[in-house]
This record gives sequence, C-alpha cells and structure tokens, in this order.
Amino acid sequence: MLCSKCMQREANVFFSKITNGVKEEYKVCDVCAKELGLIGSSGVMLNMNDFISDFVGKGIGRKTIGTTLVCPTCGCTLSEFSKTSKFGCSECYNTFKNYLPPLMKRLHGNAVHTGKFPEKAESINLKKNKLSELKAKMAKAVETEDFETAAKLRDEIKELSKEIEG
Amino acid sequence: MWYKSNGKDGDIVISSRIRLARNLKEFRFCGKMTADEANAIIEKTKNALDGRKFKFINLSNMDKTDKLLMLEQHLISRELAESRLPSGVFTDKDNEISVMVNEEDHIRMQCITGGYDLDGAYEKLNALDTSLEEKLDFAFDENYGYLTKCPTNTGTGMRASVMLHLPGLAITGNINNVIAAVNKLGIAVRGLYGEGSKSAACIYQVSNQVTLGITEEETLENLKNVVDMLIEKERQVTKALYDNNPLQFKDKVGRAYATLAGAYIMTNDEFMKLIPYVRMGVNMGIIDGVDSAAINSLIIELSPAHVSKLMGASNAAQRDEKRASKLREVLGKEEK
Repeated sequence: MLCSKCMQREANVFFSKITNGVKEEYKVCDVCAKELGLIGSSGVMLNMNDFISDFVGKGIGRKTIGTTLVCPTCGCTLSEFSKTSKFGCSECYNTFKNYLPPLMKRLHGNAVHTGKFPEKAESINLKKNKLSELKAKMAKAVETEDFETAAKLRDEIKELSKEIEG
Repeated sequence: MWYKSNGKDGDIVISSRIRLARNLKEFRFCGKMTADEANAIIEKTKNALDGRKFKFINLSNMDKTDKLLMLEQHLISRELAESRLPSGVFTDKDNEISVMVNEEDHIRMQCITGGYDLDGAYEKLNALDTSLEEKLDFAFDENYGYLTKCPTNTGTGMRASVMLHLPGLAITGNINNVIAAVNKLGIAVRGLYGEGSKSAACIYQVSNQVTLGITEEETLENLKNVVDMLIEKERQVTKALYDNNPLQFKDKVGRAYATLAGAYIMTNDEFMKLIPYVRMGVNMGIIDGVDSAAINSLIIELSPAHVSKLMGASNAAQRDEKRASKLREVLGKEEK
C-alpha cells in the first residue's frame, strides 16, 4: 500500500482519527511521518492533533477540539450534548448526526420520521426526487451518446437545483 | 375554559390536550440564544398569528402568583413560568388554544378541551400549525421530522395527553400496577401538573412517549386504546367497590361531602384527599345538585394561587378559610 501523502513509498505508519464520529484511517510512509512530526527519530508517535490539522487541513465545516465535536452554529459540544441530552440548535442534529440513530432508537424505537411534513418540506422533497430522476436520465443519455437530450436535461437539472436551494 | 365543560366520558376524563413543539429554523434553541433573539421570536410569532383573535400575555414582567395562576389552569408550563428569557403566551378567547413562546422550544402550542376528545383537539391544533407554517420557517428534517431541543420530542413534536380521575384504581391500590403496565406500552403517567408532579386528588395525566417513527394518527390511536382501557377498569373497580359494601361506600362519600360542605377551615391537603370521594359520589348519583364539571372547577380554582389571587388571601391561614367558604357556597349551598 502506498503512502497517502507522497504516493511513492510503501506506507508503514498507520493510525486512525475520529472526526464527526467517523473513523478515518491514515497510512503514510515513515519518511512522511517524520516530516509531519508524527514520529520522532526514535520512532515514537508525537502530536497527532497537529498532524491531523495539517494533513486534513482544509477542515471544512465542523471544527474539532481534540476529539470533541463542536456545533459551528451554537457552540454546543458533544460532551455538553451527551451530558444534558439537549440540542443547542437545529444544526446540532447535523453536527452530532453520527450519534443520533442509536440514541433515537433507544428513545423511540425508531430513527426515521413518518409523521407530518410541512407543505414547504413536502414540495422540496418532491423536487429532490425529481432531481435524482433527471440525473439518472442524463447519465443514461450520456451513455447512449444522445448529447442533445443530455444537454437539455443538464439545463433542467440546473434550474431545479436552483429552486431547491431557493 | 376547558375545565368548566363536561365533555364525553366526563365522569373520568377531565380534559384532553394536544401539544406541538416547533422551532424556528433561523434561531438557535432556547438556552443558546440571547434576549434579543427571544424578543424577535415573540415578534415573529405575533405576526404569524395576526388576523386571529389571540391575546398576548407577556410573562417577563408578570408577578409570580399570576404565573402560578396560569400554571394551575394548565395554560402555561412550569418551564415557561420559570423562563429567564423574554417569553409569553398567546391565548384565544376561551383559552382553548394557547401558544407558548420561548419555553423549552421556541413555540409550544396546545389545545385543551373538556372531556375525552383527542381527535377534536388535534384537528384544531393541526389547522393552526399548518397556517403558522405558511408564515414561519420551522426547523424540519426529512429524516428526523420537526427538530426540537430535547430528542424525546423529535419527530412529530407531539404530546397528546388525557387528564383522568382514577379514584377507584387509586383507593384499591391498583394504580401502581396499572401505571407499570401502561409504561410498557410507551405511555407515560404523571401527576396533575405534568412532569415531575405528584398525583393530587387521584388525578393522572396519561400521555404518549414516542414521537419519532410514528404518525400523529397512530399516536392518537395508541393513546386512545390505553385510555379506553383505563376508563373501563376504573368504572369496573368503582362498581366493585360499591357492590362489595354499598353502606360503607356511601358512608365514605357522605362523610367526605359533609366535611367539605361544612368546614370553616380547609387545607389544600385535606381538600385533595376528600374531593375524589365527592366526585365519585356525584358520578354514582349518591350526591345530587352538583355535576362533575363543577367539581373539576373546584379542583382548579381552589389551588393555592387561585385562592390567593382571586379570593384575596395572603397567607396559608387565610387561604384555608377562603377555601372552606367557597366549598360551603358550592357544595353546602350556603348563602353568599
């Protein structure tokens, strides 16, 4: 397996990091690992958090403090949520999404809403279904090299996406 | 007012209530927001309710007794009464529908009706919810439904509850077994004033627990099945209690009635202990001249804040005196 940083040497330093509750595996060679300050000359592991922020770098969306999740909208942390069992804002449902299915299952025996949909959400839902339908059609058109239809579908998709983002 | 009418199955069911929890998408939940944001939510709700005849009651600068009064009428929750954020409640003219703002969730609307009518209450509240939805952006997720501060409300955000008078089950000591059995069906049983309150006057609130993965209609059906069973059991047990020894039963009822109708000092505790016998006696035709709705009114209107505020009693001794005098007037038919 090749090092995921230099993509040249064989990877022999493996470690994992939990971000947003998702376990991500990193595999690098020992040269890159040293460069990243991950291992010292003695081969001992160092400062993993710095490594992650450098390597994952762009850290889009969610911030992490150590291994704790923080909601970008209200500042509610995972430990605060697990202590109080209260969300700080609606974005928390997204921030802590990986922890919710077992929690909801335990509380309700279910983890998917089947009740009322607000009319607005209902129409967005319909549009989303339509969108995936159009995308499938376009893929098929491209496959059969029917580029005229594909172009038409592409315009429709663009239009519909705009509506959904509204 | 809900407790003044005698609805369906009024011998046992005092009231039916539906509550929906909603939050506005663009604001953080209560607890994470500022006073300015809380005021903005009140303003938005006011605008959304515009055109309907709702009266706004600002709780921020209301004194404690007034809040307790509304709490005793079940128009607001304890959480709202204790809220430190700007908060308030919109009520319609007969206090059937109330919309609490900045309670645990931004909006908690409820419809409360006398007697057993969960479907009617839901229908009215659902219509209000749908019309508010046109003007407000509620936090909603395709997967999790309505997003609430507490995950126990996520999904429909609906709590349906029925207030039941179960003296037969309580006196015969069956109530704890019944509560345990009902809990296993996903139904909670609480006291007169909801969460954490102890049962007073043999009154229990029975409500759904599950809000996710179940439709509103299914929730109502489940709850109704349990309530139907409780009504049947309560009637059975009360009849058995009477049939077992009619003389003793009537003696109990008669003594409770005589004490309440004739006393000059009546504490809240003694009142709560005796009133269930009187209510049973009224239902069974042992006592005439009063109906069970009048007894419901007494239970609400002789609560401490009501007596303090409406009868002008400023301490416990005065309250006990005023309470007794109201009872002599209603039950003893004493001249005012």
